[in-house]
Amino acid sequence: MATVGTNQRQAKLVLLGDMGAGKSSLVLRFTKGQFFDYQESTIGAAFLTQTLAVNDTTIKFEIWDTAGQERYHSLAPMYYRGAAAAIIVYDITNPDSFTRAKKWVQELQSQGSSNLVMALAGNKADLEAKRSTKPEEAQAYAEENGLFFMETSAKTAQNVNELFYEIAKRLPKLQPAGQQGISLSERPAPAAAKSSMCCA
Amino acid sequence: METKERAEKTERAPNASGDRFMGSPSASSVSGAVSDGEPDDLQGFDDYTMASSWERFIASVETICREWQAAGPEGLLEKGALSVDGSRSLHRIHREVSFGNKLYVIVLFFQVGARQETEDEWPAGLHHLQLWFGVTDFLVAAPVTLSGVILDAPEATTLLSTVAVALSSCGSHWPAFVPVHDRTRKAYKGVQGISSSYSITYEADRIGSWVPVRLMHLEGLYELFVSKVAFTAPNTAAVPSLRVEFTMRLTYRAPMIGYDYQNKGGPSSVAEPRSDYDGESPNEPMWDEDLPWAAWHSVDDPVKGFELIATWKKRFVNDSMEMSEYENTSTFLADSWDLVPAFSIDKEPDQPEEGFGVRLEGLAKAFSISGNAQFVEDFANVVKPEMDLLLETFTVPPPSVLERVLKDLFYEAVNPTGDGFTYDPRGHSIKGAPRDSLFGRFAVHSLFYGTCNIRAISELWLEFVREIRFCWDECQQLPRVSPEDSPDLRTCLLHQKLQMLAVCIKLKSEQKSEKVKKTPLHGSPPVGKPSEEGSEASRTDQNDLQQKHGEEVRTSNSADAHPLDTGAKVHDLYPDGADGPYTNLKSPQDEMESLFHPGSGSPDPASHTKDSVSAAEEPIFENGYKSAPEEGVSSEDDEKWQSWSEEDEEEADVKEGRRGSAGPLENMMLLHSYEPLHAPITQMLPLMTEDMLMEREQAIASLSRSQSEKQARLRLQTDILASDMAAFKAANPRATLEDFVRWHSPRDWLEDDDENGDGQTSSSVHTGDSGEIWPPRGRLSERMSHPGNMWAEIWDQVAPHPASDQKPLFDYQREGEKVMHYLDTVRPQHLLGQMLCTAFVSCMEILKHTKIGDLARLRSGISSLYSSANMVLEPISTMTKADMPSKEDVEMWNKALQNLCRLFKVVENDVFVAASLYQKLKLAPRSFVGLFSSYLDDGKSLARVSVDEREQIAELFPPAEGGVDLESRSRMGNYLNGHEPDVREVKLKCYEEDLRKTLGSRNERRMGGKGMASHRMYISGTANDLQVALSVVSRD
Repeated sequence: MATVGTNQRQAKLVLLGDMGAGKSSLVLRFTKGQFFDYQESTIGAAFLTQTLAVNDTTIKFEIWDTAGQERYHSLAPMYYRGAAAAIIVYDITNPDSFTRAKKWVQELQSQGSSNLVMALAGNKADLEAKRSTKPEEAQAYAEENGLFFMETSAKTAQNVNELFYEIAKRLPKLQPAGQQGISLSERPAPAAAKSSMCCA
Repeated sequence: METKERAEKTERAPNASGDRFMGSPSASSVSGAVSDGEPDDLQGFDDYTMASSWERFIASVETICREWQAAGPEGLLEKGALSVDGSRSLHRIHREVSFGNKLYVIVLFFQVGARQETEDEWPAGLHHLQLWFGVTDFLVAAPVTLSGVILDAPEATTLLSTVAVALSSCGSHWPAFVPVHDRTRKAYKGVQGISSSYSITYEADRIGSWVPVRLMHLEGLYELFVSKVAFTAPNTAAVPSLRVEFTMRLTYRAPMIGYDYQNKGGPSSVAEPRSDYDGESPNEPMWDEDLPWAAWHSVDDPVKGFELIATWKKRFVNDSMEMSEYENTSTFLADSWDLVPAFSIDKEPDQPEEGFGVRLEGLAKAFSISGNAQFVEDFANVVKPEMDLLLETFTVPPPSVLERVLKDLFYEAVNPTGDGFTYDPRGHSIKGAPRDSLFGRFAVHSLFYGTCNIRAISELWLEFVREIRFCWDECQQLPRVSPEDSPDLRTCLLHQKLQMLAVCIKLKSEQKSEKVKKTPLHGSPPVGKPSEEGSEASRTDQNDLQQKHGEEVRTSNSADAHPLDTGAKVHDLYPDGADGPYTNLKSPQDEMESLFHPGSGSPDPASHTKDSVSAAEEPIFENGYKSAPEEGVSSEDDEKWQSWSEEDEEEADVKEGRRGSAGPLENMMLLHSYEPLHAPITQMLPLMTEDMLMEREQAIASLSRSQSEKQARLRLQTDILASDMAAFKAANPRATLEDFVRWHSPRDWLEDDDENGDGQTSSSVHTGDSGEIWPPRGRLSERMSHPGNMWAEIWDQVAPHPASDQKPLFDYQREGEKVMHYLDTVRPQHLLGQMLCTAFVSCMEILKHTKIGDLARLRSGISSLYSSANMVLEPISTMTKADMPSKEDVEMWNKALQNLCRLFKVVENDVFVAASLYQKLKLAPRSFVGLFSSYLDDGKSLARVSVDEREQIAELFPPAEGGVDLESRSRMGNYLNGHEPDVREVKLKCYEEDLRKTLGSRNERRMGGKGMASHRMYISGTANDLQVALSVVSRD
């Protein structure tokens, strides 16, 4: 949302997806490096932060980890409001969760901010034996919809840091700057436009 | 006299001085001497060692010419040459020279940049001397007098000679002209020395009134030309036939009503208001009445007329008969057609600017000073002395205007559906309000309210809020705001607040009407109705009591219902004190509790005695409130929560102790009792506007640092879950947590794999209707059965309570009051900021939706306006309630806004032009696109009309009224739809070789090389105006 300092930026990131897809586990793995077999079902939403260095910029992710239960669906807009990035998580062993992920993508495309960075994460990649969604299928879907896709495993930490790193790299270089979002740069646009669209 | 002799020697323009082109050629008469300023004469002798004053004059002209020659075009530009109006690349520089007591001005006209040698025989934008004589760069010498012409023939000759001598001494080939005779005759004489062997003489004159019939026709013009070439009398019947090059340009004009073209003897593209036009055209609809801005304002049609220029390219005619045929040939057969619209050029200075742009400027100005006060009232009432100064210049429109605006906003409202009610942030990320929503329309109204100054706006706003309060107090549905939508976070906060208020008003009026309907005889409750209070019979008896208590409770409630009091103490939220099941809530963070229950207090049903429930606190149920499903997300899952039919409700439920059921869920059965699993009626989830969300977000974020805080945070977020569990328990008295999880979080119920255990404990096996094994083998997921699981904890703590008995998650009364408080106390800067963003987005949308055909350049102009607006307005639109922009910010915004308004006006003006052209040229799309793009290029407009669009373009020139006697000799011919051309221009040229063939050896001595034109004539004529210019090459 806001920017701090010259080389440090904050970015609001929201995780969405079906219940039990592993949203909380992904966040816990990324922020604390931990993994619990029995990660408690999220109630409401959890908030965590983690800082990541990309090139010479430090990005502080403000992560909103939401509850996946359908009952809370209508509360989701408040979490993705103003988000710079969204990770849509599904469980590769559960076809329903992939369907649900697609719905989230649709919703974000119509409701989210226009320059939202969206990532699709197929979690539980360690459970290869129980796989129901092929990576090719997800990859094709992601490409169609302008997302980037990775299969992750919170349990083995596979691709977890990579996922966040990739998001950080894709964040728009020039985010709306300013502490309270109040800042304006002098704009050459009117003059330029004038010369091209001059009237008598 | 000496000077006279010299003049004769150097005279290079010996041609007729006094003769009009009509007369027969006469001998040159260089008779007039320069009489003034000759002091030498008075001395009685000529001193040849002294330069005469005339020689000094020549020398000074020569100096000037040399200087200009040396400078070259670029150098002349540096010396301050000015571009000539109406020309593309012609510039002029002038210098005054005195001769005796007379002052002359020498003007050099020169072309900057390489002149493109085009095929175009009738290039646009020529100076009239260029057009008449086919010259490029030239000098004009004129006296500095009122008329600017020389009336005296000898003086003209002297002046021309002077310039010619000066030019020849510096080896320049610039042609030189002097204006002669009357100004209105536009007569010129000129000379050009090409080389030592031959020179060209120029001559132009005009008949401004009665034109001989013969010269109104091409035939006569041909004869006139031939007579000049062959020295025959033009009136004689025996006109020798001569091969003459001929090209013609016809100009037809169709001015708009109330406008007239000036006749400039050629395409002018200047249409001026007719002086005799009274400005009224009662039967004429406004040109823009169908265009999207017409609801707000009307714009003068920027297109004042059209000119059609039909050109016949170079061709040869051999005699006058052949020539006359071109008069009868259809204009449709011309080699090229060009269409030139005339635009209104100069607005009268007292005429106010039109359009949204200038209005937006006013609003931006109001925004820039809005930081000077804390409350909108301060701007509306001049009570503070320091505001006095600021406001005294601002006027407020009369009450009738206010009435009209309020009437439009509140009482002529359309249903809140359709186009303007959805916010479309495509192409920008500015938070505004939908165009036709209450606030959106208010913002645009404010643009046209008086002069859009801050005082007028403030007064309008106060009245606006008064009307809204009336709606809230009297339970009137808010116009132009849908009560079915939850606040749209993409819109501005004010619109969200109004959306919130609309929902609150709806709930309030539902509650009110339910109360009226309710009768004591009402026994078994229709559970599906949202406001049904419960199933106990005793409940209805308490209604009266409850209503009595209502007042009291509302009063006590007002402490925590105060809109600003978001940090209300948790105790206030528990009517019966803090002895609910959530005793462990008493953490230091309790004070933040209210943030998480924006609707009300905790969902603590146990401690909730019924008679303390005020009407306002009654919960709203999901199935009574159909929250709008998010766009693009199918709501098949949501339906589970929202749409229960009421039919399944049975008396039996009551007997079973079942309360608040929304009906059995598919074929699901309770695990232990093998009863149908009923989905409970759940409470409506709280609605939140953006500011509430941010508060909540900050609170959650601030509670997410440590593990202990996490527990506190979790507990704070359990209101919905606890409410659902209590309702579930009430609907399914014998349910377990497993049942709840199967309904609420199905993936946390794991069915055991078949192969995992065949051994059935027969004692507990039931067989369902479908023959399935009961109970199904399954268990809660590990995470749900983990020790210390929050779900299990809450499940154990909540008592069964149907949603109707619970404390509401969303308190519409309190939320409605909060909205009203916001409207009452909004800072002017925030109000104006939101109005500005909304108005800008609305106005840009109007431009975007104007029918302008397929104009890629204008489309891209509009989108660049959007992106500029985005850059400027986004920071303003994302200003939060708490933000106090600094002076520097405001100043910077102000500057950016001014630029933005300027850009807006440019684009808007282009849209006006495009819309007007499109309206008139819809059927000729290529001509339309061509016109508009040339308009963008240089503000003028000209388009080549392709042959297949000529029919459509001709429609612009409707058939002349009344019967036209096409045969009449007093008309010019070359009709288009019965119109004769407003101007007919002809260029005639005779080549030396053709001349030789015709005239034989008589003139052989004078002949030059091949391809040389010996005579050139330009004629521009109408029935009462004839301009002729002739150039003749002569050899020494």
